Amino acid sequence: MLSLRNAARHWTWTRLASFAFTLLAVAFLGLMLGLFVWQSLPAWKHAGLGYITGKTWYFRQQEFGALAMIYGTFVVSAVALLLAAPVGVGAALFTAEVLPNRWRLPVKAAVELLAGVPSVVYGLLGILFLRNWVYDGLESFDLLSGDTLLTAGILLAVMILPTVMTLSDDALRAVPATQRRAARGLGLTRAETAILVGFAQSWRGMLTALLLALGRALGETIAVFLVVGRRDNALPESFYSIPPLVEAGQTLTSKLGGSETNIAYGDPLHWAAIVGLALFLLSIVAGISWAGARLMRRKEECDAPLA
Amino acid sequence: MRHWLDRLFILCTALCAALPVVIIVFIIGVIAWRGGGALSWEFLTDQIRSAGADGGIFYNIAGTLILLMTAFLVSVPIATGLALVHGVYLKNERTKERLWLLLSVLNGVPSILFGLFGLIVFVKYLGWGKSWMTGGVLLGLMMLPTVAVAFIEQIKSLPRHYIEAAAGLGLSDSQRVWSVVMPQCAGGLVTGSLLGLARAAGETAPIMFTSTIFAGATIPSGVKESPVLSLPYHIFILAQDSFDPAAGTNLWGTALVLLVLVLGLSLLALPARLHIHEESGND
Amino acid sequence: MIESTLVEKIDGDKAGQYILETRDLCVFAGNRKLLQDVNLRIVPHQVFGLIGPSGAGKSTLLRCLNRLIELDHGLRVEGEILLHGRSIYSSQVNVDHLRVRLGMLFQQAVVFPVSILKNVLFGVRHHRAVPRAEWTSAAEQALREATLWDEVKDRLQDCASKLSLGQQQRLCLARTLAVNPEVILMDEPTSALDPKSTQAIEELIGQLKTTRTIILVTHHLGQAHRLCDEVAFVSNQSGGIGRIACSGPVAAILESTDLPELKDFLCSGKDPVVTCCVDGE
Repeated sequence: MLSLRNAARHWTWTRLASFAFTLLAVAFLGLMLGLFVWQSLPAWKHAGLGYITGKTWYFRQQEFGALAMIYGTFVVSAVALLLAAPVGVGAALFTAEVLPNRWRLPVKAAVELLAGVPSVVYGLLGILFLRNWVYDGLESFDLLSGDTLLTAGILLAVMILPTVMTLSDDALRAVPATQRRAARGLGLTRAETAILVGFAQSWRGMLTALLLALGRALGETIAVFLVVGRRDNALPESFYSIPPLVEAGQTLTSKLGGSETNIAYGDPLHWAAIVGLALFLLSIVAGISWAGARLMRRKEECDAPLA
Repeated sequence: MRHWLDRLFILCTALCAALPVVIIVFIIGVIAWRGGGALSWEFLTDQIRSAGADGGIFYNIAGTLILLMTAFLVSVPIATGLALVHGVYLKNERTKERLWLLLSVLNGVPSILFGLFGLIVFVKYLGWGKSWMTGGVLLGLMMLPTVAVAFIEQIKSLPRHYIEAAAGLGLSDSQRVWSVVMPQCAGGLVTGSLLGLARAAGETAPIMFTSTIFAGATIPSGVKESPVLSLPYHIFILAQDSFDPAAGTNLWGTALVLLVLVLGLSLLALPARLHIHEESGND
Repeated sequence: MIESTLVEKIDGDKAGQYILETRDLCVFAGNRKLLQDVNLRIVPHQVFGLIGPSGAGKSTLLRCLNRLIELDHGLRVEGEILLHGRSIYSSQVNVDHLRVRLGMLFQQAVVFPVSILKNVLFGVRHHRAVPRAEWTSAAEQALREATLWDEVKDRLQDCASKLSLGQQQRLCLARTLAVNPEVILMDEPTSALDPKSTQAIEELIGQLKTTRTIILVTHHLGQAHRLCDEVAFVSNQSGGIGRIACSGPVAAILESTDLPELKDFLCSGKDPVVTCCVDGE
C-alpha cells in the first residue's frame, strides 16, 4: 500500500505535465535573453562601450550610439513617476485610510478599469487631446509641435497611476486596523494616523509599487511612440537643462517599435544594433522587476521610520 | 493647527483619489461620444474599404478574437502547470521563491520585446512570416504571469483543512490536484484568464511585426504567411496618418469597440479581483 | 422659566459630582438597535465596571464614551454623554482632544512596530512638543506609572514586539498614561493574558484609581469583585437589545440575584469551566 502511494507521488501525468510547462516558461525567458545577447553581439563588437555612450545614431553611416534613446527613455519615465507617485500614493492614502468601505469599491473599480484601457487608446487620446493641450499650455516656450518628451511623460503618468495606486492601497490595507484604532484612541488625527501608522509601515510596499510602475513606464511602447515625436539624436547640451523636455525625442521603445526594425533585418550590423536596444531594455526592466519582487517579499520588524 | 492640517490632508488625498475617477469617466465619455456615431450593424459586419475611411471592421474583430482564443489556449495549460508546481508540488520554499521571482520578471518584460522575440524566432527563423499563430503564442506567453499568479493566489487561499482532509484519505499530490485544487481554484484560473485576455486584447506591440496587417486579410486558413487584421493595429495605423473626417469617425468607432471588449473582460474579472484585494485587508 | 432654572441648577450640582454621565444613550446599526436607554453616572476616582455576557454591547458602550465608535462606519449614536457636565457630542468639541482626556486600553495589546521608547511617546509627541532631550524622562514617568520601567529601562530602543504579552499590555497603558488622560477606558484588558500578567495589571488598576477614573469592561466576575467600586450590568436578554439591567455598588449588585438574567450570568460565572470558555473567547 505504502509503495503504491509513493509510486503515485512520483510519476503521474499531471505532475509531469506541470513540471514540463514550468520548464517551458523558464526556458522561454532564458531563450529570449540568450537570443538577444547572441543577436546583438555584432553591435557590441562594432561600437564597444560606445554603443551605450555614443551620442549619434546614423544607421546609414553605421554609427550606432544609443545614448539619446536611453536619455529619452529615462526622462520620459522620470516625468511619469514624478507625476504619478504623489497622486497615486495620495489616492491610496485616501481610499485605504479615510474613505468608508461603501465608497472604496467604486473608486477601486474605476482604477481597475483605468488599468485596463489599452495603450493604443491612450496613444490615440494623446494624439488628439494631450499634445494640443501641451502645445497650447506651453505657448511661451514656442514649441515646434505638441509631440514632446513631456507629452509622453504625462501620458505615461496616467498609464502607471493604477499600478502605483493599487499596490500602495494593498500595502496600506495590510497594516492591521487595530493599530489605527489604537492611534485614534490616543487622540491622533486621521492624517497623523494615516502617516504614522499606515504610511510608516507600508512605505516598503509603496516603494515596490513605484519600482514596478517604473518598470512599466520604461517598457511602454505604443502610447509613447505616438506622442514622443521620434526625433533621433535629441540630446541636450547638459543633462540638467530643461528645454529638451519640451522638444521631440526618441526612446528605446519608440525606436524598437518604429520602421527601422523592419528595415534592419537584412543588415546584420544594423539588426544587431536594434536587438542591442532590446537587450539593454530587458536587462534594466528585469532588474527592476526582480528588485521590486524581492522588496515586496521582505518584511522586517521595527523598521518603520517615525518622523 | 493640527485640525487644519488634518482637513488639508483629507482634501489633498481626496483630490488625488478623484483624479483617476475623472480620467476614466473622461476616456469612456469621449470615446463613446465620438465613436458612437460610427457604430452600426454595417460597421461591425462589413470589411475594411478605402484604407479605413469606409466600410467596417468585421475582419478586425474576427482577427482579434482569433488572437485571443489562441492566446487563451496557449496560456491556460502553461499557467496551470506553473501554478500547480508552485502551489502543490514544490515543497522547498527557496525554489518557490525563485519561481515567483521569475514570474515577476516575466510579468515586467515590455510587450515590444515579445514582439521582437517573435519576429526573430517565428517570423524569420521558423519562416512563418506574419501569422496569427505567432501573435497568439506571444500574447499567450505575455498573459502567462497574470493567469498563473491569479491561480496561485487562489491555491494559497484554499482552506488548509481541505488539503489535510484529502491527504488524510491517502490521496497523492496529483490526486489532490484533481479532487480538491482544480475544482476549488478554477475560479482563479477564470479571473486570471479574463484579466490576461483584457490586457492582451489591447496590445499592439507584440503583434505589429509578427501577425497583423492593416488591410487585405480575412479569416486565415493555415499557419504560414497567414496574417490577420486586428483592432489595436487598425487604431494604431489610423491614428498616425489619416485625418480625414470619415476615417476619423471610423477610428473612434474602432476605439469604442476595442474599449468595450477590453473593459467588458475587465468588468467580468472585477468582482473576484476586488474580493481578493479586500480579503487582504483587516477591516 | 422657574422650572428650567431649577433643572439647570440640579445639573450643575451633578456636574460637580459626576465626571461622566450618559443620558438615554442609544446606538443603532442601520435600523437595528444595539443599545437602548443607557443612563450611567460615574463618580471620579473610582473603578466603574461594565459586566455582562459577551455580545451584550459592553465594548460598544465603552467606545461611545470617547467617540471611538465613529470609526465603525454605519453605527449611529443618539442621546447624550456628558464629561464634566458638557456634552461630548457638541460641535465645539474637538474629538481628538476628547480622546486624549479619555484614554483607551484594548483587549489585545496593540503595540506599534517601533522601539519601546517611541511606543510610549507615540501619542504625547503630537499633543505637546517634547524635546528630544526629555524623551527618556517623559517615557520614564509613564513607564513607572505603568510599573514597567524596571523591566525595560535598559532596552528602551528594543522593538516593542519583543516584549511578552503582559508587558505589551502595560506598555499600551504607559502610552495612554503618557498623554495624561483623566479617564481610562479598559476593554477587557486582561482577557488575553496569563494569570501572572493579569495580576500585575489588576494591581496597577488599583493604584491608578487614586489619580484617574477607570471604566473597566470585564466578564470575569472575580475581577469585577476585586477591582470595581460600582458596576453596571449590561444585558441583551430582552429582544437582543443591550440595556443596563441594574447598576450600583459592586457588592450590592453581585449579591442581589433578584434579576433573572443577572442570576443566569452570575451562576454561569461561578461555573469555572464556563468562565474559562467565556474568557478564552
